[in-house]
Amino acid sequence: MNERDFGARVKRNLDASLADLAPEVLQRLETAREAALARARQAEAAHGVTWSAAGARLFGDHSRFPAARRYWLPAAALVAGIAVIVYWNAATSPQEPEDVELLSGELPLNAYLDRGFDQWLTDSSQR
Amino acid sequence: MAHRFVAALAFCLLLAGAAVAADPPKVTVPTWSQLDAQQQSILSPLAAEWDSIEPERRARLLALAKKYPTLDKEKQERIQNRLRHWASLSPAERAKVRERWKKLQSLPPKEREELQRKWLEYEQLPEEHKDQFRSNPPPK
Repeated sequence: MNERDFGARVKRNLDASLADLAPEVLQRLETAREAALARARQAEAAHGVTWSAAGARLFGDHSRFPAARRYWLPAAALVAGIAVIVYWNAATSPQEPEDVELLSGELPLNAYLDRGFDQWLTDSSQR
Repeated sequence: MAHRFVAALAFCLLLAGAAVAADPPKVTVPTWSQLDAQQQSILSPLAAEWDSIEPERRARLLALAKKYPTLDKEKQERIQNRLRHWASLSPAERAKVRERWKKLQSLPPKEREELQRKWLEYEQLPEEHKDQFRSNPPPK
């Protein structure tokens, strides 16, 4: 007999004996199943209120803490947090480099400052 | 109900403001001796005056030093040659240079090249000749 045949025989025997279970055993099994389901529902509900319960402790009673406000409060905290991060980054990030393109350009600084060059350009354009 | 929400929002903003006010971020501006060897080498034309340069400008110059190695040799040389002159300019003169440089950038490449050529031509003039132009009132 291979493993598969053995498994099939076990299943057949178990199915057959299921019908022979005493009523009090069936009752016990059903009670245990109901209790397990109730516990699962309770755990799920408790997990869901954690956030709002924290808010209620800070700002008042949970029953007076409507759903909309439970979302607004973390959202406001998030906005404030982002504002701080943006400010911080702007203040501490490296400055704009000092006029790199200007300093490495074709014309020397005197070309922009020499008044004679301006005058000479005007004169030569009029000639 | 509504005022509770406003209070909560104000509380958040107050926390954020307090965090910023308690420890405002500062621009760190090292003295000359605190610069590393590479920074000192790049900024060497400014060694003498470095510690007296305003903090904001020192930060900008440090950013320039950071970008410097990515530039080609020709640009690096130009920067080295012009750095001391640039640092010696008054804020008004620097603003004037920037303004004219921006105008130059807005010209078509052909006109920019022409202006460069003209500058070389002007540079060749004898000093006294240039002085004559300098003593004339600048064009409006």
